[in-house]
Amino acid sequence: MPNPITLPQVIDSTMLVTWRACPRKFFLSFCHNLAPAGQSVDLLFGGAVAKGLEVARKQFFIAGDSAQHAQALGINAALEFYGDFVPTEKKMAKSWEGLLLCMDGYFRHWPLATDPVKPYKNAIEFSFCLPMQALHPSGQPWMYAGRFDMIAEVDGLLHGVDDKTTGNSFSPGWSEGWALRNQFLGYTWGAQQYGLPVERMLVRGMSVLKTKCDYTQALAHFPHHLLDRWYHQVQRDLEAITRQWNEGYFDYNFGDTCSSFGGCAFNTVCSAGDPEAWLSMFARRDWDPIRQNPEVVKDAAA
Amino acid sequence: MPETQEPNSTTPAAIPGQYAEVLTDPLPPAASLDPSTRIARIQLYKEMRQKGIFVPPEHLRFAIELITLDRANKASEARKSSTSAKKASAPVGIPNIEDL
Repeated sequence: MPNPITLPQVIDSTMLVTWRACPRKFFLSFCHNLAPAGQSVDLLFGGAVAKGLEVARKQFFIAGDSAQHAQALGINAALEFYGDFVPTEKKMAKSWEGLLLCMDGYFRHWPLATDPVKPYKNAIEFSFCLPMQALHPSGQPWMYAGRFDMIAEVDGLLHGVDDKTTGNSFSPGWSEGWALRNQFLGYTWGAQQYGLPVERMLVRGMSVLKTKCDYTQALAHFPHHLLDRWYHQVQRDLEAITRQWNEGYFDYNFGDTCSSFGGCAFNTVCSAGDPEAWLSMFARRDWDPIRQNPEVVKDAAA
Repeated sequence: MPETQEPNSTTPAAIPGQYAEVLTDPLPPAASLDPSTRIARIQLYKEMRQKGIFVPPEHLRFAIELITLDRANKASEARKSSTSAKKASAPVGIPNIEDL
């Protein structure tokens, strides 16, 4: 049975950035709800880490458990989330064993008991969903959604906190790479709409390699003029999405998006004489921007 | 008696015998276990998580020791096989030019 094609009214950073990279990819990913068949170990590993940190932080900062027990509960939660998945040899660093080492290393690097980064008013896994000015084809406003790992008070200032895992070593520019990141601009804007004076993001990185895990953190500042520029751009993008939906045609990138990161999963569709015939090769998924782990693959490819 | 222990659970449930035994027996020195026993123990911890059985902190530390030893063992074996492969592919019997 073919997927119903719908244009979601709630959009998040992943969807918006996909749109900017290639409207056709956005259409296939979020209107057709197609995803490459097979579990992505990167998403699974990142989701497991997020779940583990959430459980540990809530248990320590909200439930008042001991740091040692809270961290153990967090690690247990991460391992349970990961399940019985076995990655390919190339991705072995992100195995179950790698997850245990990564989580343990995180709490050695930033122990809950002594970490100066503490949640602000229990804002662990803080979600928002806010109306934009631009109109969705339904006539209702587009909604912009996001989910912070944590909002924390650091040296008396509110920061958004985001934990990132990477399968690569930290490059010299890793710390500087966040200043124009749509995800963080959107988070900062979202927090401010709730009256929270968040202007900074603290990014905590975990480099998960076959032989070791490294940890580092970076700060990024998002001043008002930049948030205004971001908001203006998002309005333009949303209006363009509405326009292309109404036209019934989503543009192709035919450029770097097709070849970067090992090649776009939809290259076969975009190059086929009969694209529709290829759609059944993909899994169906449900993407919910509000969920901690937005992607749920509903069924495998036919 | 060891129990399943989840953040939201209020009534811990008893856990199956083989896992209970692992959790109550004293932990051996990780290095004293042979590679296959180490792997089997790691597998047991995986199964416990899949069944929702809480792995306590000292067992997590033990699992980390086992994984570290297992990885060191695999790295050492890889180095050995790489060295023997190099030896096997090295040119042999190249005649001394003066012998020609």
